[in-house]
Amino acid sequence: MIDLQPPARQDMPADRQAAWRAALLTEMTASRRLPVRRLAFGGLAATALVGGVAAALVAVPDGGQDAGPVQVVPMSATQILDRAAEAAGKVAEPRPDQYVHTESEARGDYLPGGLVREQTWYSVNGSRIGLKIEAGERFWRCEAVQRPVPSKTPADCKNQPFYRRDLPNDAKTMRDWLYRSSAVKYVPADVRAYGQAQEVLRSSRLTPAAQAAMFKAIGTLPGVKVVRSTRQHIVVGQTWLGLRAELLFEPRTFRLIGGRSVADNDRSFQPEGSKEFQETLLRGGKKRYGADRKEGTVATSWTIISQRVVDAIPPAYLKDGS
Amino acid sequence: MTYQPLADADLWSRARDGDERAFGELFDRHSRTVYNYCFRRTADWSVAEDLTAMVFMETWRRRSHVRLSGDSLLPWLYGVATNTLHNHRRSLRRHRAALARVRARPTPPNDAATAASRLEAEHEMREVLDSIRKLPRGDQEVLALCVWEGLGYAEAAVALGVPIGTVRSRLARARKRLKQHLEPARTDGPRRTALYTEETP
Repeated sequence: MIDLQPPARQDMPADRQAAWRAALLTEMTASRRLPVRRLAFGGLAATALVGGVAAALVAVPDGGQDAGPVQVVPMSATQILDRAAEAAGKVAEPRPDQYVHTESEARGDYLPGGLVREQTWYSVNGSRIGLKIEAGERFWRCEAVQRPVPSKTPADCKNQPFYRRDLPNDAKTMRDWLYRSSAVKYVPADVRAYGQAQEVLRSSRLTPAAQAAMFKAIGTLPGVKVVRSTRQHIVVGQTWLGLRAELLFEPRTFRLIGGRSVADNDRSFQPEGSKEFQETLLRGGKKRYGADRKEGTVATSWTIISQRVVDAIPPAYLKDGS
Repeated sequence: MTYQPLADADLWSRARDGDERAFGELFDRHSRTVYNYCFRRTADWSVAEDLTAMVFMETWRRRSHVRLSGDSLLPWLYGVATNTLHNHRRSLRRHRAALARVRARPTPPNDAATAASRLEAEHEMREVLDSIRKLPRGDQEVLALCVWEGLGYAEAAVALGVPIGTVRSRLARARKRLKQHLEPARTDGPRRTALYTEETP
């Protein structure tokens, strides 16, 4: 193991930061002549798709049980997300001193071999060290240490809570929060809000009430539609400018199991702010965003293989040496 | 691996098409990380500042070649920063006019506490760099990205443009060598520090 760490990060002096920023934009304006090329995209085969539809036939267990006979009923995105909210509300809450252990995988042509699997143990309230294991290697998460640490596994770590208790418990307040909280400035507000929901769902775990509120809030966002239902997935998504951002649910339990970005030529959703965004793109002579992407191509995906609450990081990972 | 769905991708798409505000937003978002990475490779805040600017200028100059890692521009920026560290003089020549314009501006002095903190950090960082100076350059790069910056193997592989197996083997080799070199100094060395890696947000 390596025990020499650099000193803490510092900010660039504000006036210098502003000066460099201005110089950068000047440079950019002066040399705007290179041809543009689209992001490398695709790589993973996709099933045949339709764009968003009003409702999809979903196999729902009779009586709400996870096993047993099912009935096939048409469900809208709102209904699917309501069922997801209902399921989320039934989950037990962890203790503050516990960990959330997640096994997940990410796919995309930008990744070596197209696939990365990882396991994480993140502290429920952020008071304990976090651990990520990727390709057999340990990466500790310890965002703030108050003093030099004498052992190989810092005991006085302070991280952001992985289990978020700071988010609203009702759908309307959650919806407002989604619109308020995104750091992205240029895409339309409806798209920002949906992207923020995806980000939060992937990067943290919410209380049952907050997660239920989140799913209900997503169901009210413009452009969110049910994409399709198969035996493996129920998919809802929002398509904007050639790309559909999807959330995938497990059909029997309505548990969130992942997300994907998929090329989609459905242009029916034109939120306020789209025109201004597109005008900038059109200056480059492109007919429209995403025009060179083959419909149905999956750009990126993430899947939660399993997620459960545990008391501690397995002792084997805490031993010295790697 | 950190994940920001579409955020950087949207901004980059817009920036590449000529939107200065979008590129400014990317600069605001990532310049601190790049600045500190450059500092950690040079132990000099002033040089790190120049390098940070050059990283973004080079990213813009070579924008038709930029490839996002997932939805984040950061691995690409780490890669440009690593290359810029190698080719510092060439980059300085290429962007000398812009650098000269900014350097010509008067700089207000730091307050005493800030100045002391920055000097202390430079001193500490030189110690750290001295401790890895005997490693091959490639091993130093992997060490800096994976251990200091908290990148996963896949992200480091994207940043360095090498296979993921190379990242793993370089890191394992670096750790082995460092362990051999550092063990004797641990009993009386001035800095006993944590054996954790810090993940970038």
